[in-house]
Amino acid sequence: MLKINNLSKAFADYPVLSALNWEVPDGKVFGLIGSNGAGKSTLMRCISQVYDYDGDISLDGAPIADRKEKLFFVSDEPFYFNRFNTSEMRDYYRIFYPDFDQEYYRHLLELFHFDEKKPLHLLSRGLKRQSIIILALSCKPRLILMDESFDGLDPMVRLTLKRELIKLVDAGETSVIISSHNIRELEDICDEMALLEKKQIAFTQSLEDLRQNYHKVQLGYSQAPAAEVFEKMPVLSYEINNKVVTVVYHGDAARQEIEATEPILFNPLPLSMEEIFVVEMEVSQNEK
Amino acid sequence: MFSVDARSKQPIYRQIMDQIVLLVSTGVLDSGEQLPSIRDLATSLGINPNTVARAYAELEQRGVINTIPKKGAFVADISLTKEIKAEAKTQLADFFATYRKLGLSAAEIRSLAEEVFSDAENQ
Repeated sequence: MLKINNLSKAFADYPVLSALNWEVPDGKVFGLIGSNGAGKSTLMRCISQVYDYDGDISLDGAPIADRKEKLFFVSDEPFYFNRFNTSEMRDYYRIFYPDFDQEYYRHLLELFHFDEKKPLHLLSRGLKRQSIIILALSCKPRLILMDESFDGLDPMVRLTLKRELIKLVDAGETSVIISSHNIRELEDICDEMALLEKKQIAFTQSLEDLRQNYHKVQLGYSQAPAAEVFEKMPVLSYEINNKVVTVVYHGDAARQEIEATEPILFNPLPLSMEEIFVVEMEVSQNEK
Repeated sequence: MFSVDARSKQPIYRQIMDQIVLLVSTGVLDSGEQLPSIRDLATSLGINPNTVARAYAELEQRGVINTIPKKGAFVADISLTKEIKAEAKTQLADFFATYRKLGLSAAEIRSLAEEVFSDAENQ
């Protein structure tokens, strides 16, 4: 388990993360969501010991600094030595990752139809990413951090990668944290989503809960209702358009209060994961 | 006021039409009431104005709304019984086809429907 305790990080006088706490249980794929500049990459770089920070981060009960060989950070700008190819980078990584699985590496090269002999500086952005992802998985880390790693991958590769990640996680030895601002990208692979907002993890929720407990309903009235009615309700957002009101709420608490306003139309609407996060981001931004 | 789902199988103009019909048939929108302008609705939903225009044009053709040039779109003075019946028929046809495929006989579906209706009447 990854445990983050009271993590703070500032650049010059600008705090990016402040007293952040987070626990990532084993065998999960966590989606890390946040607006641009929320600190997703900073958080990942703190976890992977790229940055100094204040606070404690531990993996399986030991300080993460002592467990570097158990974690792999796939940066949004993958690092490689000039003119190296994938197979030379593999030799480099093997120095630091004793668990490097050569057989699995071969398997992945085949799976991704990847040429390990091509110099990395000649590869496209998407292929560079594939190279580092193949290396990352082959290192058999306990924790893989992927910073916007799905960006720039073509749909076929993306699908292959998702399948591989699911296999690794299912075997129980690996946890994955994937950051993205593209929620759709994360929807079909993550078990849980965490929202980074205002320097902290604003909430974490399982996808099941996100799908089942958020509701969006269109309400119709014969007389336009007053805004105060909805202002007092435990709803996440409401929009009044004369006699039609659209509300988004979580759980069942608001349902009874809504029904008490006796709408003549109660029409549940589809609600995408994106809308849920937009609403939650707005809610946490409006809190002081 | 409205909401569209880009991932739905149903085309977006159809979703807008259905929602307006729903609001009119439940009496939330009365006849003579003004609908949002094409531009406003397109902006608030983040969709192409042509899509909204198409929904409005089809609704006008069906007599659900009237468009008055330079004034906007208004709910027409019409009974929607026909519209609603047509929609109900489509849905029943879908339902029937689904459960026929799953192996229920026509007679079984009919008797289930009657059971449901009488339960609902008795409540």
